[in-house]
Parts: sequence; C-alpha cells; structure tokens
Amino acid sequence: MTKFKNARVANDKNTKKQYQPYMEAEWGFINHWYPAAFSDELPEGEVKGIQIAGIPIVLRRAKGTVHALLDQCLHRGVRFSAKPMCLNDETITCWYHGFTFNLDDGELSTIVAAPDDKLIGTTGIQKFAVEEVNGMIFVFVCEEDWDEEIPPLKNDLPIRFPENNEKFPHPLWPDTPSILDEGVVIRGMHRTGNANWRLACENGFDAGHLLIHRDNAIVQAKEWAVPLGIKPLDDQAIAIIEDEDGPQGFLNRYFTDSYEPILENPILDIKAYGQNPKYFRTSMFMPGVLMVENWPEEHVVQYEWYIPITDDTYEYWEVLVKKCNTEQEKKEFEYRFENLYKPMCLEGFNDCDLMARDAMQNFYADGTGWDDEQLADMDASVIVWRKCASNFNRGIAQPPRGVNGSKKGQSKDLAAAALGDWPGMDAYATGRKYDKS
Amino acid sequence: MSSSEAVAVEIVESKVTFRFKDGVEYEAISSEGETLLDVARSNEVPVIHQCLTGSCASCICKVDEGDVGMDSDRLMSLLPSEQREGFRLTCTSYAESDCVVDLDYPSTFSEDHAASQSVITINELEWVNHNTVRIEAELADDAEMEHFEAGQYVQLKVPGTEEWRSYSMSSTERELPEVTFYIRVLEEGVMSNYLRDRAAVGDELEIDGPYGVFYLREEKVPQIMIAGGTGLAPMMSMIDTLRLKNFRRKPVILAFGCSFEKDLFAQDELELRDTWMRNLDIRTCVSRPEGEWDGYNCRAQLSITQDDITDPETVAYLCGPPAMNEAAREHLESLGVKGENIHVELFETA
Ligand SMILES: Cc1cc2nc3c(=O)[nH]c(=O)nc-3n(C[C@H](O)[C@H](O)[C@H](O)COP(=O)(O)OP(=O)(O)OC[C@H]3O[C@@H](n4cnc5c(N)ncnc54)[C@H](O)[C@@H]3O)c2cc1C
Ligand code: FES
Ligand code: FES
Ligand SMILES: [Fe+2]
Repeated sequence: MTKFKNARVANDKNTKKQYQPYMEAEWGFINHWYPAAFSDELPEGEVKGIQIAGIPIVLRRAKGTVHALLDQCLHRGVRFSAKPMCLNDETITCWYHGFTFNLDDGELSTIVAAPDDKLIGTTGIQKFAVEEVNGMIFVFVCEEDWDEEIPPLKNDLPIRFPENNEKFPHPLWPDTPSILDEGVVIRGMHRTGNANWRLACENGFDAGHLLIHRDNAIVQAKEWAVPLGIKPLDDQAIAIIEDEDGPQGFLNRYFTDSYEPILENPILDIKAYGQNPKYFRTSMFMPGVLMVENWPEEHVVQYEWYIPITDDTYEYWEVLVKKCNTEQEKKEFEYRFENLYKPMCLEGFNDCDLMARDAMQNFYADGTGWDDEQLADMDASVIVWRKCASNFNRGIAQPPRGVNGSKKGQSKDLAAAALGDWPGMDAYATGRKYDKS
Repeated sequence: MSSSEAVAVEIVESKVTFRFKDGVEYEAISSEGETLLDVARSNEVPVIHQCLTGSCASCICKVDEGDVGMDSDRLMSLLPSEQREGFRLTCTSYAESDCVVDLDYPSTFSEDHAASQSVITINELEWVNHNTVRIEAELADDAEMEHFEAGQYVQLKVPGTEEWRSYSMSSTERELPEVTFYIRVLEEGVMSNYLRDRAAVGDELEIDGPYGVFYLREEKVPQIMIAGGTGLAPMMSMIDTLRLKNFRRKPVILAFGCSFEKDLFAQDELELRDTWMRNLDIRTCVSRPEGEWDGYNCRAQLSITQDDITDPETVAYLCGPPAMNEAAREHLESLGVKGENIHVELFETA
C-alpha cells in the first residue's frame, strides 16, 4: 500500500516531518547513478573534473574506457583535473608532487620522484563505477565504504516502454524512447544553475508554473495551447512507482480526468493563448531525473537532471531522445535540435526555469524557506516527490569536507570549477602558451 | 568473594591501571578508603562521572585484572548480572589489590563531550499518551552544548525547585539547538508534578549536560535496541543518527515494549523511520493487551530470538526499568550476544 494516496496539501509541521530525510539532503542523495558527461566531451586521453553531491570526481578516457576516480589527491588534496597529467594509459599522476594512481582500482602505484616510498601499494583513492551508453557517461556516486552490489543503471533512470504501456498507457505516444534503448539518438546540453538542487527538481514537474512559459517564443511561434496551470483533482492524479527492483518515483497523469488544465482566469481576464493542443506527461524518478513525454515534439522525450554540485549549485542536464529509423530521420532530428529545440526550448523555454530556481534560492538558502513556504493544491506533486525521495533514496550525502563549496562564499568559483574552469586557470593557460610540450 | 567481605579487606596501597578504549592507559596509586573515582579525579584520569552516588551509572568500568570491591550499602544503578560480570561503578568501588580496569570509551571522550550549563525554552509540550509528555525545547543562543552522542542525557532543573532530574535526548546533535524529550509523568514526583500541573510553552528550564556513556558505538554491525516505556527516547536518537549516517547494510532491530496498549507512544514517528530505513525492524510489544492486538504479545526482550543474532559482534542497547534491563541482558547473553557489547541505561534507581 502506498502512503501517498491522499494528494491533498496540508503542509504543516506534521506533513514536513514525513519528508525529513529530503530536508536533510541539502547535498543530495548518494549511492545513485548520475550523468557525468556526454561522451563527446571526453575524447580519448582527455581528463575532466566534475563534482557531484559534494564529491569531486575526475574522469579520464584511456584506450576507449572511461574511468572515474576521486578528484582529490591523497597527498595535499589538489584536484588532478586542475592540471591533468597522465604518463601512461593505466594511471593518473598528480601534477603537484607526482603521486600516481591506478585507473582501475585507485591504488597509489608509484610516486614520480620517489619510487621507493613506503606508502606505495598501501593506500589509494576512491574509484567509481562508470557506464557509457548511447553517448552519455554515467557514474555511480557512492560512499567510500560502499561494499554492496551496485544497482543497475536502469533503476536510476525513468521507467521504460513498451513494458509500461499497459500500466501507464498513452494512446498519443506509445513506446516513449529511453536513454537505454538501442539505436536512439540523444542530443542535449548541461550547465550550472545557482540554486539548491531540490528547488530545481521541484521546478521540473511543477504543475502550477506553466505561467512562466506563457510568453516563450516557441509557445508563440507554434501557437501551443499551453495551459496557465494544471490542477490535480483526485487521488488518481499521481501514480507512485515503487518497484523494489526498478525505477522509483511518480508519474503525473496529465490530460486525464484526474487533472484539470486551467485555461483562463476571468478575474484577471487572462487566457491561455494558442490553438494547437500540446499534450505531454511528466514523471520524476530517483535520484532526481525528470521525464517529459511527447516533448518538445511528438514522439520525442525530454529528460532532465538537477545534479547537486554543492548545496547551492546544481548541474542542469537536458536531453532529448528520439528513436530514428533511418539515417534521414536522424539527420532531420539533429538539424531541428541544433536550429530549433536547442536555442528555443532547451535554452529559451527552459532558461525561464533556470531563472525561477535561482530566484527561489534566497528564500531557501538559510533553511527557513522550507519551514516558511505555503504550498497550495497545485503543489501536490511537490509533496509526493519529497516523500518518494525520503523513502526511496539510498543515502543522504553528508556535507563534504575540504572541497569547493564546503566553506560558504565560494559558489562563484564553484560554478566555474564544475565546468573545469578554475580560478587560476588563466595563469595555467598562459603557462601552457610558453611551454609547448 | 562477595562485596560485603570485600569492604572488610584492608589494603594500604594498590596500583590502579585505567585502560581506555583508544588504548591510552593511566596508572595511579590508590590509598585506603579512596574510591576508584577519587583516585582517577586526583590524578586527572578522564573517567566520566556525574552523580558521585552510584545512581547515574556513568562512571562504570569493567575489572580486567585484580580485585575491586563495591560498597553494597548504597543504592546502585548496576544490574546484579553486571556486577557478576565484573562491572563496577568507580564512584562506589575500591581497589583491593593492584588492578586493571577498562573504560569503554576513548580517553578523549570527556574532553570532547564537556558538559555545560544553559537554559532551554519549551516550544512544544504534547501529551503523547495518558502519562507521557513530549517536550520540544530550544537551547539559549549562548549555549555551549554543540555536540552530544546519540543516547546521552542532560539534567534539567525542575522550575520552582532546587531539584535536578536526568532526561535522554530523543533528538540528534544535528537538530541542535532544538532538543526533544519524552518524559513519563508519575503520579507523584517533583518533575512529574511540574509537568502535570504547571508546565507551559515558553517555560525556561536550566539544563546541564550532556552526560553519560550510554551512546551509539560500533556502527557497522547489527544492532539490537530494547526499550521499555520512555526508554525509547535514547533509541530514537540512535536510530536517527544511524539513518543520517546511511547505515543501511546491517539490520537494526528495535523492540519497544509496554505493559498496555495505552502506554505506547511515538508510533507515527517509528512508522516513518520504518519506511525510510529498509534495514530497520520495529517490534512493538505489549505484554498485557486488553483488546485485539496484532503486534507482539510479550515482553520486549522476548521478541528477540536466536534467528536475530546473525553476527557474533552484534551490539545491544537496553533502556528500561531495572527488571527489564536485567531480563533482557540475560536473554541476549543466552542467545550469544557478548556481555561487553551490551550497553545499559537505567532510568530509575531501584
Ligand atoms: C540517565 C537517566 C536518563 C533518564 N532519562 C529519562 C527519559 O528520557 N525519560 C523519562 O521519562 N525518564 C528518564 N529518567 C528518569 C528521570 O530522571 C526521573 O527519575 C523521573 O522522571 C522521575 O522524576 P520525578 O521528579 O517526577 O520523580 P521523583 O520526585 O524523582 O520520584 C518520585 C518517586 O518515584 C520513583 N521513581 C523515580 N523514577 C521512576 C520511574 N521512572 N518509574 C517509577 N518510579 C520512579 C522514585 O523512586 C520516587 O519514589 C532518566 C533517568 C536517568 C538516571
Ligand atoms: S598534492 Fe598530489 S602529489 Fe602532492
Ligand atoms: S558517578 Fe558513579 S554512578 Fe554516578
Ligand atoms: Fe518549466
């Protein structure tokens, strides 16, 4: 029996108690799979530093395989990715004093100028599991002492079709494609937002926020009839998905009798414009991945992640997936992606979301917003998500130590750091100019 | 030898070795008539203590070598079975020969958990059943208490009196400056009378703490918690601490027992933790159910069976009335839990 039958909103202290773990997850959830990079961001031999849930991670591709290690040198804590140095295909070397670690197990295998050091072979750095699929690189971000079997990537991605067509039917778009489907075309982008990751998540499926998209160019150009908002009507509006061995989260049954699209507000004399019906459906899964089916065009699906970097920055991922049966279809989709959907949807349309999340951050940053907010009926799915996340997470990320963001007031540097663009990077680049090695 | 004989033995001087969990040892000379705690205190050995009268049990040690006698004339918060196993309260025991005693906490514990004094203001006061009150209070801004271990307690001064009483936090360090207590209201008692007749939201109480060596130990082994009545309070703090540390690989069993169904409380809080923690198994036990009852119909400790002891290093925490603590210790030992892995807190001195 699910506990979320009653989707009505009473967001008093007692309700909040029910999702306490979510409130505690300022730095995100740990022991989950997260996207780390697109494959084409990491060509052969390249090194890239990222940070997820407070954990710095360095990615390196060697002989085709992507490896992920803790991006923090055992010796004095610098990030390997700040100035990548790889002397062979099996290791990564710290640019500072030459501590060298195996890519396959993280062990300290030698030190450039001290090959006899007693530390060698006795210690190492954390290594993370990696999966690369259809042009995306995923990392299993876990605690250092994780010793269980690693759950399959599919459990941390949205539900798949056709296997769920019967349970969650939609005549207009059967067989929503998945990241994991063979032969799908995946195109997307990611960038850093300046808000807590949870605010971003909650914006992703916010049923009441369509107002911010009202004036968006794509909506106008295509004359989409995007409602002002979508209002849950009964306890069937939201379906909880809680299979033990599968994705866990919830699905909004939009455009069924359980939801009412709000098309006008006579008091304010405001109406949804646009003649062309725009049917879509949102669902949200652990550890914070959104699926918008039939968006932005028919038979395409948009996936989004809001990956905590620190407690006040997140990496916003947007990915479109389409099953293309012919080379021609693929070419045309890629063309539309580059020239229409990227500029007008992933940027234009979703830029408004990015702005809204950043705008919420001040209210929530010191923790008081979570107590002081006054949620309304339109927010039923927000509460459902908070409860799902509380129940289904595999662990709460601890506030980190000794990394960017663990001390407050670094968030500007941090956004840069997440992109591998460091304060001090200019000096490094200048140095490189004169050193042609 | 019995403890009464022990007191009669006259020893002029003996060497006492205090051995802490972190391996640090202190040696000191004990002269006639000095309690072990006297010896420790005059030699700056960091032995935890509080009441000095044998009632708080915080000064507990275990005799490893030699003879240590205990003052049997005084009320003591030590179980007979604990005495038999060599546990002693240092404030009421005497070295009768050179001896080595083990302290089950690191030598830095008292330094890291220094008690301080402050004031709390009651924010919420809620009757959670016919005789139990839940108090949520906030520490004053200038309070020094920034840390405590899950399971530790504080002393609260009963308003309008000079009396102090001890209460375990059911909240965790992470919730500071907010602290939560579950307090059983007796028919007659200094704190009980205050809570029943006068207590109100906004009241200020003096607070002193944290104290105690009943706290969450080794986390990477199965845990068994047995709680009677408000003995649930320290367990709740421990469970939330385990949860926050993502402890989910080893089973945690909480056996919570009351005589009657009407004595139960905090069921909603426990249910939530049950959904959040897959490894948590909550067994609500009512020993004398009056109506239909589909939980365990037994005393809390009896809900634990041989099948639950899957690891020889299982750690157990017991907190309830003396009879429960005693019976639970015996039961767990008979199932193979090691005596030194069983930690006990007594809420009353019998
Ligand atoms: C380390 C420690 C932690 C404690 N934590 C808690 C806690 O979290 N919650 C909680 O409710 N209590 C707890 N107690 C018990 C608490 O300190 C008091 O003893 C209890 O609240 C009674 O106080 P009083 O002032 O109302 O009664 P008092 O005026 O002290 O006593 C009145 C009479 O009741 C008897 N008596 C005392 N305690 C009890 C009892 N528990 N049951 C039956 N009779 C009793 C006394 O012997 C006396 O005859 C703890 C005690 C200790 C030593
Ligand atoms: S900091 Fe990496 S080798 Fe010294
Ligand atoms: S100090 Fe020894 S029992 Fe309290
Ligand atoms: Fe949006």
